[in-house]
Amino acid sequence: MRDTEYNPLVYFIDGLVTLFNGMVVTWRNLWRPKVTVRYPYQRRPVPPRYRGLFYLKWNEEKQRLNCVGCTLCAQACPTDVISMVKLGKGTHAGVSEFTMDLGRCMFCNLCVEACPFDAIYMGPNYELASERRDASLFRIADLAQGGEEAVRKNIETIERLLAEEEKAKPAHAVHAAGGESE
Amino acid sequence: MIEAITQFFKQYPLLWTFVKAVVLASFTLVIPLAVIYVERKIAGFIQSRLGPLHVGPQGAFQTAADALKLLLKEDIVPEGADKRFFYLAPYIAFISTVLCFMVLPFAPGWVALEMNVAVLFIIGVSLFNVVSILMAGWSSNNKYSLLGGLRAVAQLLSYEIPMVLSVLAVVFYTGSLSLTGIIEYQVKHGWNIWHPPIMIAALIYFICALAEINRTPFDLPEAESELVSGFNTEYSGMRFAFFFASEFANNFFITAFAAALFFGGWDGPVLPPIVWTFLKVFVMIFVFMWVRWTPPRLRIDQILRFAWQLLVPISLANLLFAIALGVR
Repeated sequence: MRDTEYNPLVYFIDGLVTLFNGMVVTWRNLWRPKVTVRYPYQRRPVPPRYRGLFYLKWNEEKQRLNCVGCTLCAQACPTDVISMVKLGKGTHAGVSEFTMDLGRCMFCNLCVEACPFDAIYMGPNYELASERRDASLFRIADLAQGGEEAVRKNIETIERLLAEEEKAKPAHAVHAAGGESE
Repeated sequence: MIEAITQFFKQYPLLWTFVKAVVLASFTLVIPLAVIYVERKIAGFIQSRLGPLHVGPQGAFQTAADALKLLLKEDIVPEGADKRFFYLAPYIAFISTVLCFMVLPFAPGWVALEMNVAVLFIIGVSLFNVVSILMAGWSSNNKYSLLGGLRAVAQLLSYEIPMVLSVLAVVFYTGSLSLTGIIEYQVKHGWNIWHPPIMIAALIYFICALAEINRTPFDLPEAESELVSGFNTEYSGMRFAFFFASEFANNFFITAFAAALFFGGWDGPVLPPIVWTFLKVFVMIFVFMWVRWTPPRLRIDQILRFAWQLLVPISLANLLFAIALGVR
């Protein structure tokens, strides 16, 4: 309001009316349900496509992890989070070790998009903070669906399949392979 | 039981005075805990939050925990501060509040010092608060503190005038300067608030009280978004706690004073007098907080213009009105 047209009484009454309007608003708000989520005790439901902690998909039918150790995810990763140790080769390839250092991870989802075998996914767990420095390092047993047990079975299955394949091959092929390497 | 104790202490006047002083000082320290808790809850509710929840039932001990934290914190004195004044300021603020409580009757006979000029005394000692704020602002050696202190003085002195004039209307109406006298008049003749001149006086008092205790929309002395936190920017730890306690105790006091002047103090049916006092006080504190969380802060020139151009003339006219109606 400019000084020339300033009328204190009009100003005062106008102020009182607007103050009253505002107070009606705050009074209504006083009784509205609260929006606070009391986090450690209450949690918001996590959306299904939430980008939380990764997991390696367990294939119940084949009794192994879907991962074949192709390193496409590691190549797609902009921050070099993923490293793995490949187990076997050809049709019966898998991983014996799969390590992610989530201290560098920005949860960009590129590794999940890169995977052609539906092996790596992002889960709903977002509580990854820890007091230990090495807690950002997730090994295969932390990542695999089913944990320690699944990793053991995965390696077992793949080694069994590899052994069967080895047996099924004719003897000269083995010789030839051996000769090649000599 | 209480009778017996008071009877015992009254045999030793010095001891009795000491006991009263201790009780009042601790009351002035404890009541802010309750007021701050209520404030934080109401602030939370108005903003669709829950407020403090974890310490004690429904977070009731949160402010006590905060006060304890403040007491344990390092006492920082800025370089170049005027140390004597810097040390003294919070205690002057606190003492002015305790002195105000000294003459406040909570219930019949529940008054530390029965004074026949209690209203005058309260107006006098509550002005010490202005001194302490200016001391704090000046001695901090900080431009924000100084600005806050200067604003505080300008604002508090401006609003003191209409406030005193509206209190004076009550004094003329009831013919007493003693708070007990004013309340007893209301017990006999009904609450002052129902009389037209006092109604206007109560409205003016309410506005001025908001300004006196530095609450939004008149919280210029510690306008967070402009002056960091105003006159108490450089204060930390226990000294800050004293400023904070005195601010909220003042909040309690100014509403208790209003209850005594306009709403019949301890007067009320069924419930015991002390409960009525606290009920009225907390209803008014609620309204204060409700106002605090509603309008935004005004500018200093708007605030001063409002006081001098509107409140002072209205309260003067209202005073004449009250005298004309009240003097017998």
